[in-house]
Amino acid sequence: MTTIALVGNPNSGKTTLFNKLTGSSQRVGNWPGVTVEKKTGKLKKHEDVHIVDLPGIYSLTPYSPEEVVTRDFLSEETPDMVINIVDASNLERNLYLTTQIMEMGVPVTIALNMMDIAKNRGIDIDAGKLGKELGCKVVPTCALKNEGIDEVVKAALDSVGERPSHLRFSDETEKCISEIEKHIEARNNVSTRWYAIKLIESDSLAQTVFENKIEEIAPYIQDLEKTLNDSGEAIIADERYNAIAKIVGAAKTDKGECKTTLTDKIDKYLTNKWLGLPIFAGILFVVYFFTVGNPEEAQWYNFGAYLTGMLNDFIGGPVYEGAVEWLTNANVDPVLIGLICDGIISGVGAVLGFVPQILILFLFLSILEDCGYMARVCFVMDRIFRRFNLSGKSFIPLLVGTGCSIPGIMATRTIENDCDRKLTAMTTSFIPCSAKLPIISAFAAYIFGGSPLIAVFSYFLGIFCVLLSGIILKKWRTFAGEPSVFIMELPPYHAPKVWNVIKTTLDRGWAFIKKAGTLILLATVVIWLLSNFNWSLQFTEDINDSMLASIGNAICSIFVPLGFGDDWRFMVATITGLVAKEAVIDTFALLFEDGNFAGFITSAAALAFITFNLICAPCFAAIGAMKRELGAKGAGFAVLYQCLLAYSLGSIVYTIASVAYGDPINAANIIVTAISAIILVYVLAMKDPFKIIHRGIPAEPEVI
Amino acid sequence: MNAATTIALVAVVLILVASLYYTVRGFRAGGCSGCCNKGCCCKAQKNDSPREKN
Repeated sequence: MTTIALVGNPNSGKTTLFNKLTGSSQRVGNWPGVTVEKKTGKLKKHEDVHIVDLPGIYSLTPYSPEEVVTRDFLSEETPDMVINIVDASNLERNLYLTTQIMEMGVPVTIALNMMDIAKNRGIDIDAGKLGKELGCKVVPTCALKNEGIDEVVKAALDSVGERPSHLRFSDETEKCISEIEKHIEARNNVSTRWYAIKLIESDSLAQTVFENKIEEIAPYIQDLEKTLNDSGEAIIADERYNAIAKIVGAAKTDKGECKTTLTDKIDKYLTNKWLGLPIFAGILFVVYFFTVGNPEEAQWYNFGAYLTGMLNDFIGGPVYEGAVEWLTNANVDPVLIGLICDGIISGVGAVLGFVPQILILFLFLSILEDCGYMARVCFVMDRIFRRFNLSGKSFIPLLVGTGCSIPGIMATRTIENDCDRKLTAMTTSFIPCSAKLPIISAFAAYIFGGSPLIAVFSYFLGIFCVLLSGIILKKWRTFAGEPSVFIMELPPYHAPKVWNVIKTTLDRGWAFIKKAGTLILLATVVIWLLSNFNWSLQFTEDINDSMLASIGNAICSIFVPLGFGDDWRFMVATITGLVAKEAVIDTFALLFEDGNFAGFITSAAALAFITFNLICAPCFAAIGAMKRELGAKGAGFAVLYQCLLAYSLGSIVYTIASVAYGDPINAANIIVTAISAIILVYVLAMKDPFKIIHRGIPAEPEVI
Repeated sequence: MNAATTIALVAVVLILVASLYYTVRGFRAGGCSGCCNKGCCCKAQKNDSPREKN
């Protein structure tokens, strides 16, 4: 069995190459940090060759949890071969990692990827010369266009077992390295040279491995630092870049003049300090305009809502009526007909009806992702997030979370700062995921005349809550600390790859359908049984005599301050939303005629309902993901915090909206809103005992 | 209970058992409902989680 690891800088095309080599269809994205864990697959036509796709990393000194995955794999599991994917358009920086991998003693083959972009920029690289200088095989590739894939595989398989050469540093450094090497031994086939260099760099993981040797080797490092008058880490970085410069100088010809590219021209507007955010809001409005709407009145250009209307008509018409007629003719018991038709078909059908809207939304979002715009949104958001003690890095999990909060919470591993990571994991579910879209869409359709502004409001409400949490939680020791420095490599714009877009869209749609057929189906049956039987387990015609009604009535007064506590059905929908947010719509479909709740809730209460359901604890599966990232205590705190914040904001939104709509406000609402507002203002105005730590934040994001 | 009702009831029970099975399987795979890389990332997530490693 041969193991080949794919290693490279973030966004260099590792997963694209992995998919080509293994025939799998892992998610790829046009921003750094798409892969946060290792993935394995078998090389096509080579059953005995395993390919491992590792998270992107800039050097073998890891800073964030997902970088630790790559470093641990290379140093502990030592693959037989590393295919190092190098972005040809950023050769020097990519070779910084290459030279470190080669020092480990692991055979390396370089896939010189993105050659097309390099050529467009006037960069000409002689792969043969580069390979000769580095001492390993270099194969030019363009993974996206399927160019050079077979050649890189052949070169890699031919080179298994060959030990690569390594850079030669200055005499002083080489002397120090060789002295240290005498005191340590190789581990897991990783060379002593690599460990020696890591020890000079004061790498904490290497120091842990050779804990008992630190005192012995310290004098050599101190001598080197004294001789070259710099820190060990800086000395090695300098030596490495000097050596890389020589190699690159011999192999690269840069004919490109420093001209403004189309990407630069577009970025001038899209990442503009003042225009960036309004443009993003405008794009979101357009996306939701085509997605959300009233299915019954939607015009053809409201694609999502229009197709939802057609699907609803089909499920509510031929499917529902056909099933009733067929089962009645077969003389099936009416109670069972009720369960199948009014329960399963109506409930699950109501959720499935939103599939076209999910598909349209993710079609647009994946186009925006793939062309490179979403990476710009992270950059634009960094400017805002930084003012609230967070960085643009926290926005990447939020972007991923628009599909599903679970991978969004996982994506927090790209954040090296543990405090920021915890805070972001706690707040990722504030961003509307695909399961929340049906709630937003249904309220937009039945209460707000199909306005896409409700969806835009929901999105920005989520971002607002993340920022609010940044201010509030950073005042506590657990979350205090300097936000991660945000260094973002903005990929050049390119036309979206049709297959990537189709795949992402269909994946989302299929996930939604699968959930409707599993968890939602179960929830539907439980809700139907509870809403059609009383406590004596007798079938009841009047839903108000059901078990569900008595449970809902007993606790619905909790939501009186939010305006929807008078009707137990909204309370029940909120509770079922904890199982899965789609279940809210499922509950409406079972408890309201045709699932239409218009006339049972005011516009102000509807806004409060949306606010509460978007911000409160996510579904059980997402709570489970939070538990894995934050621990049981952390997840428990997160759920409590989310519910309290949702309740407070819900009551405030209800008060403001009631005043705006001229609706009467109840006493309970006034009391809860006043208490919520006082607490929020107090916490926001409270002195930040850790403020001194935050002073080191750069005023502007850094762009490469 | 007539034959048609019995058959319909058995069909409903079978569908529910199947959906329960797939729901539990999804949760055990890390709560993934197919949203991300067909479940494999959630399995990897369990193995690679810095918390679980510690």
